[in-house]
Amino acid sequence: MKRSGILSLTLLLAAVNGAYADTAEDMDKAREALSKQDSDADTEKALEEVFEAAEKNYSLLKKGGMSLNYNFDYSYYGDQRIDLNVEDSRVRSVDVSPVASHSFTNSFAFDYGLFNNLTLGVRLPLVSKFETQDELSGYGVGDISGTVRWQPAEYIPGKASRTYFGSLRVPTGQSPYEIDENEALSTGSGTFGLSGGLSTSKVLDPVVLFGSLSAGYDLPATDLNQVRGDQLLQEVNNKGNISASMGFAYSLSYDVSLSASFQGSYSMGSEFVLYRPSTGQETRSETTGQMTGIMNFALGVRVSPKTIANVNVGFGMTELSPDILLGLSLPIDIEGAKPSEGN
Amino acid sequence: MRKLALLAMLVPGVANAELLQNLFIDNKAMSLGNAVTADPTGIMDIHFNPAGLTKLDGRQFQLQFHNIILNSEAEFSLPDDFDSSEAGLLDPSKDPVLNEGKSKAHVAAYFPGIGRQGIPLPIIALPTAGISIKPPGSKFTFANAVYAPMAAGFSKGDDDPGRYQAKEVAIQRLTYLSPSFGYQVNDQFSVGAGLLFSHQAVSLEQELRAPNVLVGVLEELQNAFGCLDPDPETGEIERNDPLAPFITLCGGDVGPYDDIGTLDITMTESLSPSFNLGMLWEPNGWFKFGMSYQSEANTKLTGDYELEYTDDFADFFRTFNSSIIGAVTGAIFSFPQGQTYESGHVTSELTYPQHFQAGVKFKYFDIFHFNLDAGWTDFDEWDSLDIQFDRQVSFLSTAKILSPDLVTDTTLEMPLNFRSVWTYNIGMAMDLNSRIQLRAGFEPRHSSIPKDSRSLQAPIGFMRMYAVGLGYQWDLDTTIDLSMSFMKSVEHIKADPQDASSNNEYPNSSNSLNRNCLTCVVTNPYPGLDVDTKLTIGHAGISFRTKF
Amino acid sequence: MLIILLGSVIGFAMAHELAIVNEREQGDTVVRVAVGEDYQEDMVVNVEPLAAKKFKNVVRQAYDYSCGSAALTTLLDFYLGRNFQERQVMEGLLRFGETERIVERRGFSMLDMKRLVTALGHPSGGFKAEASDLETLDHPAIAPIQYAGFKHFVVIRTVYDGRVYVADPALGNISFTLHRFLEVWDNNVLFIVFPNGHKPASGLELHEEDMRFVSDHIIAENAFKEFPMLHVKSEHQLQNAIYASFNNAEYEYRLKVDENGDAVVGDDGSFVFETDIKTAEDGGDPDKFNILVTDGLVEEGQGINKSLRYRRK
Repeated sequence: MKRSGILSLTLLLAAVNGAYADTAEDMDKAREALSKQDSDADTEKALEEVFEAAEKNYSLLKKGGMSLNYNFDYSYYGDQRIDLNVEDSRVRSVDVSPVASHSFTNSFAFDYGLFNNLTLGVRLPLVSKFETQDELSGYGVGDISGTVRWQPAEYIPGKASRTYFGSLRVPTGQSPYEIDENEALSTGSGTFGLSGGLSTSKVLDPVVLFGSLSAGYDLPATDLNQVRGDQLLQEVNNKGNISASMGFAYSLSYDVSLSASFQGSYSMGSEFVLYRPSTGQETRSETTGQMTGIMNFALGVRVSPKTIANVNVGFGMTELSPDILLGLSLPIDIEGAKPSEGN
Repeated sequence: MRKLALLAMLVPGVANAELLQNLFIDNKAMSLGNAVTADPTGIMDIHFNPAGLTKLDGRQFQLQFHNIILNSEAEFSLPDDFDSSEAGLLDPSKDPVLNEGKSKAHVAAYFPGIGRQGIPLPIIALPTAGISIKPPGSKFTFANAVYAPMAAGFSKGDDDPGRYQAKEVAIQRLTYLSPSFGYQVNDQFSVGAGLLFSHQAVSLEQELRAPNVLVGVLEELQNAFGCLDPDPETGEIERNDPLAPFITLCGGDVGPYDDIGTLDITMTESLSPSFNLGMLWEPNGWFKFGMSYQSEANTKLTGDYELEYTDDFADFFRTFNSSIIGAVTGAIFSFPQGQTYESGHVTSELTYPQHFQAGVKFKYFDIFHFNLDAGWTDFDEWDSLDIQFDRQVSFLSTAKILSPDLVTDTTLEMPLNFRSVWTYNIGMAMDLNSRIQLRAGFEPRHSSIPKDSRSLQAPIGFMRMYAVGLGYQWDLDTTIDLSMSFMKSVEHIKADPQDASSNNEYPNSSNSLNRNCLTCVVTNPYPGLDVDTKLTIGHAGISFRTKF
Repeated sequence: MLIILLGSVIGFAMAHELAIVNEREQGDTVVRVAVGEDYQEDMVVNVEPLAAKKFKNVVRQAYDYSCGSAALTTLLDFYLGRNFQERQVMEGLLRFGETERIVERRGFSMLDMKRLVTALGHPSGGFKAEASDLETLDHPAIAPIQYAGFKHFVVIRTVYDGRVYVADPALGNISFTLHRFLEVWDNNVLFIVFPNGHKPASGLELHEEDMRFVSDHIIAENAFKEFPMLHVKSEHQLQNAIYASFNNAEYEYRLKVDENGDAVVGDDGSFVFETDIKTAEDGGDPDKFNILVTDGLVEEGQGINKSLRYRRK
């Protein structure tokens, strides 16, 4: 530890020397600075300072720091619905109709730096959804989620930074398993979700590479009582899922940056229990695992000295992911409340 | 048969809307009889007229407490000229509620995330809070507040005679986020808008019974069969069915005044958006004119229902269905199978009505203020409440035979027949000195519930609200408002005469309470009884607004 | 939806108004990690943008013809450790150089540069050099090059591994392959200014990021890469096209009439209807219907069997 401190100090001085050495005046200053080093106490102090400064350098929020992020997200999901009428083992009518699902989410994410290397975050989504075929709509508070981010090692510019995170999703939104599915739309996932993983980024000016790897688990939704045809859905147990994302951002100038990323997730399917009241029969089945993928492109523009607006455009690459993703985010760093203006 | 009456029990406690409109939102508004469209009140102008927000400088914070004493009573009695010998099969004098005394209710509320809760306290304190920001030099003032533009709910005891019309009910709209702004166009004119994110809840628990002639017939048959006669030797009730297995009627004790079960239904929408618009015109020092519009909100409510039947009721049908006649008629009319419990999901739509209000304010002799407002609320929207069940509910299947217009296997339409009303508001104030303003207000609140739709769930007739208040300028930045108000509704809902032949002849009785008729599908759990309701509300509040 | 959007925006504006919002540092960039997941994050990373990177330690020429002064300023500031603006160097060149010829040429010459640096007290010299000299070059040097008829001065920072790393006053830090540089190099001349006895500044040294050129073999690999078509289910498209073609034949469902134009009455006394499937010979709009000779394909009582496959993506 001490050695690294000395090393940093030397580097620092070398930089000073290099930058200013040639004007006589600067040379004098540098010499002066060097001569001060003779005092051991001062060296010790300087070392400490340098050492401290290095220790405090994390890429998360500083202790007590806050940030607020407003997001507007739109997603579109279109599919074909086939309605069959089977009678006497004959298909009597087939009705294929396209269904367009629009979902708009306004969300607020608030982050707070508990320590220099530990940030707590909470995200509140306000969801509005529309489905054209049956003219369904649903408004509601979505699932609130909380995330803890922890950076075990200090961030050294130019090296990859690693942040571990854990996240909890609370089913505050309307569960898809607790509504009349012909009449209402869900605004949440209906289950508690836990996930944890690692995200990393590496700056290679003018490019940032970033990625994440995580595993998630949903708590089973039990005691359900939802009508599905002539059966009742009683339990849904989503098995785990594994997600990975990777991408890069390219900073074109101090005002504009571009990024592209891929988000892939493999969900291991889910198990569900159906109950048929007419026969008292209980069936337990499961769905197969599925891969979902999303490509996302973003343009970051500095709209004011305080604000960077990030516009995201993406598309789903697999059947279960949305066809179109559009998003706008405005993250701001907050120092605290403004003092009274006294007017 | 009795399903008809059973259906009748399903009445929602939806009727309370006018009850708390514009009440307990702002103390200054209360003390001026809500005649404040042209007289900005503070941060709660988000509700009354967002254009008034322009009067708020800098950054302000407001906290209000409304202390409410609510007393709701109902009393049941036989009509004076009642003759038991002419009663026939349904004899109101046998109604046990006559011996259960007065019905008394205390306040209940719906807490998002927790549910409906009775609050058995004599005084309820309702807080509201808000902030406003006017950036230096800006013509915009932003504001946000948490408040309840509509809140009504009450709870009764387990043995309360009023339990057949909402044992516990809560209808409320809680606006938890209301980003709003006022914009000062010029010195004389300002406009404003508020965007409201609200939580809407409709929740009700009710005991069910079927005081219907047809059920009276059934009880007579049970008596004739001797179903409930005790065995002479053992003293136990044997429930021998003399005509078994052709027909069995002795499975359980049923009658017009026996309980059938309990219905519990809760529906919510966690995000219901709506908006308010307003303008304020101040051409000179003595006259101001304001208009505001509160949009309607189409809430799509989703939730759960639970029906728990009494053992007697369930046993009766289980036994009845096992007989030959029961099996045949049961299959035709899809009678209950004898379940003791049914539950599932429900969906409904409820339109929070739009409201328009315009008002003027006159100032004369420099110290007297006179406010006059007129407002209109679109309660015509509350024509009926349609509830969609997610599965076949057995008593609905039966009830649809008797009332195909209103009921299907999975839906229930409940007529409410509310009507839009105009209300007038009068407020007066006097500036005692530069710090103290004395206020008084009067609001005659016309009920949007027609006479033939009155019920115990909304014991609200015409009410006069009298209010007084005081505004005190503590210092340059701090304002305190105090208000006290009182209002009362007394209703005498007389039963139809015993020989009544037509429903329309006697408009003083209510289809939703005490009408005695076969086809009144909407609830009338107290047929043939006179019902007197009394609702008194007292309020004292304080609000505190300061800069920060 | 609109209400929620407007409300959210106003709410955010309020929070923005209420809070002290820090200014973003230069180079802060937002990247979105884990799109659509619960832990979706808009990460703020500080990156030096391409534009800044490109002109790092290069003085950008202020005028169309000022490449000479900009190249000399680059060399003076970042190699010799002086601290000049291009403007100062231009004035110096005008004062110490052949003023009339500068005005006439609308540009500076190496001679002008030599006069100025000599006045500044630096030893310097112009050299005629070969490719092999470039590889052993141990000082940054100003070299004239000629692209597309334009004469231009650049600073050769160093030559490493067959590449010439150049600080171009117009284009910033760029590199040429040695071969390409020899093509554009004008007269094989170098102008070197030597440090005045002390250690030179490190501004023109080669950095790791300078090496991020796209190497030839990567270009070759990408340019000639063939994507295997294995994953494209083109046979499904073919199948659908085939089946679609004998679908939707134009037909009429009508009363059967006899030669006299009277309706035919069946055994049970009701009118008889017939289906008439049209063939290509009957004409019709081929955009609307796929008319094929259906004889032999459609047998009585069998109907048309279709097997269409589709995938949402």
